[in-house]
Amino acid sequence: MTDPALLILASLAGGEKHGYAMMEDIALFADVRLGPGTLYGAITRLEERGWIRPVEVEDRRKPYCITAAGRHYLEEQMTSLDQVVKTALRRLKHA
Amino acid sequence: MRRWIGLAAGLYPWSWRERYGVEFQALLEDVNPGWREFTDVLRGAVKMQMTNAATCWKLAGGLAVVGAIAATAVSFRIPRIYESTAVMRVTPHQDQQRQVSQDVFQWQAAHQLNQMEREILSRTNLEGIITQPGLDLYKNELSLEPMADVEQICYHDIRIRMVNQSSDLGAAPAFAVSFSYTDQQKAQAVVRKLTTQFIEQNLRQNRFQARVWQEIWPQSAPPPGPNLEVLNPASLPRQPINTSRLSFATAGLVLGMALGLLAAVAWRRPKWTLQMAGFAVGCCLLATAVSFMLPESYTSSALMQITPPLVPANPTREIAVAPPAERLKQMEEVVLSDTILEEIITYPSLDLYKKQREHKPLDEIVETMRRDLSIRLVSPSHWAFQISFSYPDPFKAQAVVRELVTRFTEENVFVERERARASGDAKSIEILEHKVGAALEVLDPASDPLEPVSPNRLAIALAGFALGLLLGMIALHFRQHRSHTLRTA
Repeated sequence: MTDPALLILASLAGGEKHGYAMMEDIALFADVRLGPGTLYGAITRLEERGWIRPVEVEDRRKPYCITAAGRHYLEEQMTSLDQVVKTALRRLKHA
Repeated sequence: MRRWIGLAAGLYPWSWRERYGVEFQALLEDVNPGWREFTDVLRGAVKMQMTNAATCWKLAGGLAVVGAIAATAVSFRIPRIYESTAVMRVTPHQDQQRQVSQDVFQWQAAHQLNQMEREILSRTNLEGIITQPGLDLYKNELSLEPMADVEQICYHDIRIRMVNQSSDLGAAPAFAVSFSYTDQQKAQAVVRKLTTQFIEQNLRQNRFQARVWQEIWPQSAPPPGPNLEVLNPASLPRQPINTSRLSFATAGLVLGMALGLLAAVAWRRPKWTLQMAGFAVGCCLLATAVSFMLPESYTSSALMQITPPLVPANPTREIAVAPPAERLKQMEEVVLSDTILEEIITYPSLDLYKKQREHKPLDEIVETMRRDLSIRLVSPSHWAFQISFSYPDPFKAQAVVRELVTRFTEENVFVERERARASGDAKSIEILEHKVGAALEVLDPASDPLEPVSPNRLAIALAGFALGLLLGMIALHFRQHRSHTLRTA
């Protein structure tokens, strides 16, 4: 799975994070290194759709958190992905 | 490298930088700078610029300005064309006792004008005008093209058209003579020359008709021919007739903006654009393929003209004139009769509608041929009519038109001969022998059709393209609707 939007949502599901923390977290759990441009491109789209929102802090490094709509979307995506994974594994076993 | 990444970050849209600029800079300070980061930031900036609505308008605006500048530059490369015009009028002669009726006068005037026009626009006369030392026209063209081609250019630059008659002009036919050229003075000089030639030609024709009259009716004085007078002399054009530079610039602006918007849509929704283009190109190709399967049809045409008699059958009476539509109808009834058409269809050299004749009666084939035939008055004032025939074989189409031209000519001679014989008048027979009675003239012989008139492949391909776009829109709409329904379920 390499969709930057899903990776960011998955990262933020574990708690609020700023850009660099998200990059490091994603590299750790998905082994995908997102570039700064890709990361902020996805953050812009996710914020526009209301799936994430910035947390008000004084620091230049602004953290983001997942919204209820974002959580719902992530759950939906993970459920369908889970179904695909389960089906594929079952078929591989019987093959 | 950090400097280059900073520069690439500066390429993001202003509104985006306002919102994310500070935190993005903080992130760039945290990451290890490298080529991968630089290209990623640069790609992100370009994507963000293209998905930004303001950028789309900026692109459209930029292309619009480029289009306007390019169109204006092109307009400066096109030479300015000036048109000089003179208006002339044909008036009946002043001899009250010998004046003919209005109908007859209109007929004579139209015929006389037609004759003069042909003489003046003849290749010899045009060559004389082009090479006249004082004028020295089409210098550049003559250095590149043969005289025959330059004569054609000159022919197209001269315009002779009937003028709508206002009440102050009366019923006399008025016409305008125009010439378009890059030099105002020369345009005026050519129109002056043409008006002089029209007047001279009119006098020459009147003299010729008087001589013919004298040969037939030596005892009576011939009626003076129509006069030609100049209503408005050749004008000195001040303004060029070309499309103005402002119109050029506006067209370039609109075209540039349209292209810009199209490019913006293609960039923002590349998948959608590709699918739409796929539908359009697919349907266009399909339509083109279908058009090649349709049978081709070639049309051959000939132009004929009913010419009025130069002298009447009786010097004391005016020339009897039947309206052109009526005269044409009489001849058409005979020439397009079932018998003659059946004869043409079954000519061994033509052998028309061979396949249809195998399973259809001949009278039905005759009706089909009538539908493929067209005879229409081209210009009622000039008494000219066009005969056209469309057929899959270009040579047979031409042969049929040739045959019909011959039939019309024969029918006219036959009618005139019968009329002269029926009157029993020696003078009528003499008029027929001198060939100065009503006649039928071939202006343009049956054309050799090189290109098929149908199917119009370009129109079919364009229709296919438009249909493809429409189908694409419908298909994408339904697909979107379906995926939305599935997602909701």
